[in-house]
Amino acid sequence: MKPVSLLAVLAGGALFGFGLASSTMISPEVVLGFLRQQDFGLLLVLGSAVCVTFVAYRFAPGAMGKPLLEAQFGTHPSELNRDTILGAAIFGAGWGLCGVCPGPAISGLGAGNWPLLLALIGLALGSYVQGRFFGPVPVLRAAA
Amino acid sequence: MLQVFFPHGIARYVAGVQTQVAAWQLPVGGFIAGFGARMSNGCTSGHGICGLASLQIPSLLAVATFLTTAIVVAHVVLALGGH
Repeated sequence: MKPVSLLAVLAGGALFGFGLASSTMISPEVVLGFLRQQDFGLLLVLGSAVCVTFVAYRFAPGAMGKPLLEAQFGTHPSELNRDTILGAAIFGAGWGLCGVCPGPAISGLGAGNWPLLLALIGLALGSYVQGRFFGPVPVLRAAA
Repeated sequence: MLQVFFPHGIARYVAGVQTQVAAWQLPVGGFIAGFGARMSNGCTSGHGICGLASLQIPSLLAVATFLTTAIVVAHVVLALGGH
């Protein structure tokens, strides 16, 4: 990855954090409210994000030919196996317990919501333990 | 310069908006979520946004699965007196 691409990553991350904050998804209370059917805003945010991302994924490669900064577009296909589903079930259990998923755990710190550091440390430890003691390290595959 | 980033003062920013979710739920839930996200190769962002937007069936199944367990656990926690 070129150094200038890191700036694009930084800008993308900042925009993602801005969106999570302005949509109030950085608040565990809001997320838990969704999971308890008190506030369906999360569905609107997720649905909108999927639509925007779908348009970019579907049409940008054809329209642009190659990315602005790198040699080619990549993909990261999901695999369907036992770990995908079992892992998702475990992830959901943790998410439902604390109302924090990885994105808001990081971006919520920008709002001065310091207890989220506890969730972030937990996320990092859980990820470490999974990779260290349970199963192979997931490999990201570049596009052919 | 500081005025731009912290218009209400640094002290006010540091005071922030603190979540009322119980302190034990954050690291324990985070640990479980981190474990599962790595095992599943994705989370709400990876499977939820990127996976669904690229029309990947494994991601759709993952999203349906983690939404289900999250809703169940969130209700159980509430019923047991948690936040």
